[in-house]
Amino acid sequence: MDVLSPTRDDQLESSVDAWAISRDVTGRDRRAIETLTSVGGPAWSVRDLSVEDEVDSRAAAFVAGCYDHADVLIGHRPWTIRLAAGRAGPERVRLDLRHGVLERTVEATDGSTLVEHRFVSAADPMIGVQRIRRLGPSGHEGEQVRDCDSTPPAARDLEWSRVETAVRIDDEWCSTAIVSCDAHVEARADGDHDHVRIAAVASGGPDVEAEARRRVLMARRRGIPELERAHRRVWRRRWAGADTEFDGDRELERSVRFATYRLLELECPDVPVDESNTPAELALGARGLTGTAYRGHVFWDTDVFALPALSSLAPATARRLLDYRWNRLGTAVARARAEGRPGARFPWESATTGLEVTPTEMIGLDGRPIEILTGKLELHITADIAWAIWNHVNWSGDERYLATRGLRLLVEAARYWTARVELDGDGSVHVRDVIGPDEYHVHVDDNTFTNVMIRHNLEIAARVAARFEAVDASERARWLDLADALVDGFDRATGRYEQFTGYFALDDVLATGIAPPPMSADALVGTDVIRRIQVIKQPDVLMAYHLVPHLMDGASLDANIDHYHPRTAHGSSLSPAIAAACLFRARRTEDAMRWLRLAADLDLCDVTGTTPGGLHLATIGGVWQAVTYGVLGIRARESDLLLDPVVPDELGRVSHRFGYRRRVVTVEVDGDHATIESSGPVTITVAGEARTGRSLRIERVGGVWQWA
Amino acid sequence: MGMSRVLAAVDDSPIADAVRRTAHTVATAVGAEVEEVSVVPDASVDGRDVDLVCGALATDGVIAGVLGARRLRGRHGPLGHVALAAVTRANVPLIVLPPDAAPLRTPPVRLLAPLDGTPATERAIWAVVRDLVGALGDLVVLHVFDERSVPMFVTSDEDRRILAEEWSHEHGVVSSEPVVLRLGRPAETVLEVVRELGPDGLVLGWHRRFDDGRAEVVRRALSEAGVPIVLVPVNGEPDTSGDDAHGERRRVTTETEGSR
Repeated sequence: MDVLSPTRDDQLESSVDAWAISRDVTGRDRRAIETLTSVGGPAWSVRDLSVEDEVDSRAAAFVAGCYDHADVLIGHRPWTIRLAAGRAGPERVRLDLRHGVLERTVEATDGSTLVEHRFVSAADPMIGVQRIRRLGPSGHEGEQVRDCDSTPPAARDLEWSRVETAVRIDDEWCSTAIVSCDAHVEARADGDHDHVRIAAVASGGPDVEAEARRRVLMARRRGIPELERAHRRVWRRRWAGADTEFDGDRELERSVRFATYRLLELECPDVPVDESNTPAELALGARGLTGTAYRGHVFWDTDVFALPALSSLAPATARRLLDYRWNRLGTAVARARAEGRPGARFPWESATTGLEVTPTEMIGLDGRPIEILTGKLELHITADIAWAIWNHVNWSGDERYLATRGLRLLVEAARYWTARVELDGDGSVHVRDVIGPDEYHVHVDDNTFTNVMIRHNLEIAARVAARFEAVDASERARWLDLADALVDGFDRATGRYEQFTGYFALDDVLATGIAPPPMSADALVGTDVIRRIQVIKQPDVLMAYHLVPHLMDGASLDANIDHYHPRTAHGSSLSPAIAAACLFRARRTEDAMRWLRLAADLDLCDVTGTTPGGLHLATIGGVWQAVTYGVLGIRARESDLLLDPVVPDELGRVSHRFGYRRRVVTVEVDGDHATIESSGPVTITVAGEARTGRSLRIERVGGVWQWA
Repeated sequence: MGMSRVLAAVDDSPIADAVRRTAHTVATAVGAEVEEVSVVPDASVDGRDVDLVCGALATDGVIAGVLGARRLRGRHGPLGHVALAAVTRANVPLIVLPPDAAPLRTPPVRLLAPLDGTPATERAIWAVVRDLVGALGDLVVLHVFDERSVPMFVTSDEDRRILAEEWSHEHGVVSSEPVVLRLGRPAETVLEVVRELGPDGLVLGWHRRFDDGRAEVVRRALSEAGVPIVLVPVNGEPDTSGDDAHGERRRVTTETEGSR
């Protein structure tokens, strides 16, 4: 399958291996495929399709939260393979999604073949295993195999490969990491032999190299077969709790499964959290640990796009993502103080310290500098984090987190907003001079998304604070008053939200008037023009419908899709999945499916040309949301799950398995009938009516779902 | 046979000295000899000067030629008749000096190489880099997207960095400097970047045809760039596929009306 072709081939459906991503690797697409076939976990990840001495490679291992002095995620090349002769033709790779193992076959010009299997242990995320089997002619010089003695060498004779130690930045935020690799040989009865390496990561302590070696030795004592068994056990458990099937479209099923795989591989071991200690956080950048793009920096991509899926699939992991923000609350408070405001304000772009690291300028494709204002003005990130906390609690049921760190974060965010908003003489409350998700338009007032998310933040903070009696009643009342008085741009006469004050006065240009979306409209027409027209970068008002539909006018979704969707350039990788989700909610399934496919194939087909720089984490999380929230209409609320399937006929029977409050829930939709099976009692609300049980059924009558 | 030769076509115009010096610079860098061909003004009556230069460029051992764009200084204008004939007929790279251009200075120099992303042009350019230009200095590669080929997401310098790195990788660029990616009309953008970066010269691949409005970049560079221009002949018909990878991606992506 051509990595660059996102076309659908119905003739191949019957032969689609929906549990693997397979590619023949040529020079041109090597680096994109290297991204697709990275193996890793929450602690570190490896991408490497090079052979030794190849310099034109993006091969590297990335360690989570490990930055250099310039806040760049450090990458080093831990594993290479050596070919005595050159490559003979394309190599073949197969990422086994079911077991989390990469198989790679490299044929050499001397007739030998190297078959490599590689995985980062799901059972012990600090350990990685590489097994190389050589097939064909024997006795080649220059191979990494030193001898064929089947006796594993003594520990003192091990050949250690030490990869760079990261620079210690300062005592508070230091992150040092080192990977040590052990090699030994296992002779085989047929004369061939396996070369096995174990790599280990250690970071943060004073003697990380010794710690990494200790981990390698422990892994060696366990033995490769046991490491592999433990790894597979974890993946079996993971897939028992999460998966999506589309009987009518195995290719889309595979693409969605790939996204789910990438989320599941981030699962951290579920260790008890001691509130008195700083837990191990998880810093997840815009490209995860799969590439250098965005240098490992954290954006709302994590909180709003990836975290919601993990709150369902791996709640303990989602908790660690939230703790990344918790650990930087002090910096956020300091920033608010510097503005003369209470509470906390989080950065748009974050790395080691939690300080704002958004660049202030970029060079456009016209060679001219463009001022970047998102770090100054894209404030909604603070409200997005609050949303992520509430969403996490609704999905995971983690009341303990809500009562402690979640409460504090919600309260500090709310306090910031009380000082950031402006109260006009007529009692209306405004938020001026911001940037919304649509980054084409800057210095705007009363951006709908920002204001609605702030409203959500204030209301949830008041509710949670009341539950735990944490804040004075007068302050909570103040939050609710502000929330109620915030303008959101809604016009009841038209049913439309004005994205920001004055938006409808801009020149009314459709996106297709510039070029077929998706596109970088600002690059095509220039910054000055884009700010004068109604073309927007990505869903903004519709993003509010997606995240907080209960705070938007439900009867007006169509009116706002009719207006904003044709004016959306989709000039961001975050856009397609959200567009799909909104279109599904509006029952526009044909259009929704096109955008879902684009999102699902964005990295698999390197649609953007930037997949070599890493997987688009927000798109991956967005795909899960498009299926969960969009196709199936599943939402977690405080005490129930909403369900409202909108399954296109072309998908056939759809089965979606996910986690909810320590239960595994499977929703299966087949035409006009659907079932809900849960490992424990669950309350589901359909068309306003709630039922509780482990095994439930609904049916669609006259286009409306109801309890059977 | 004998050593390789760099041909210097000199006349009695003010650019002649710069032509000689450029030829010597290039020859020294690649270990070749300089051969001068005198372009006699009176020969323009019956075309003997054209035949002389073109014939000399076609002889065995000549690896490159250096000549002035035209006799007249101080204004933009078309190529002189000798230069026009030479550039459209020669099968070797030609270094053309506009009237006011300084000679190519002693290496290492910095040369701007606009690439259109087509395989034929790249093959020709990289061959010349290997055999000639590489000895002179380093290349700064420039690629100009058009509306069809521009990447769909270029939201930050990070995106541009990755795109530039991948474009380099995909097109075999070997340079110490990152590829410059721009969007716009090729000829105008090339001239803008020349003004911005101030390279010592330009390297342009072309199909040696000015008819039917072709070769606008070459025509305008020769007229306006003000620096020595290495014209690299590209064989075959011009490839209009442009930046195939990005163009293909955009063509196969969704089109949506967005409303019922």
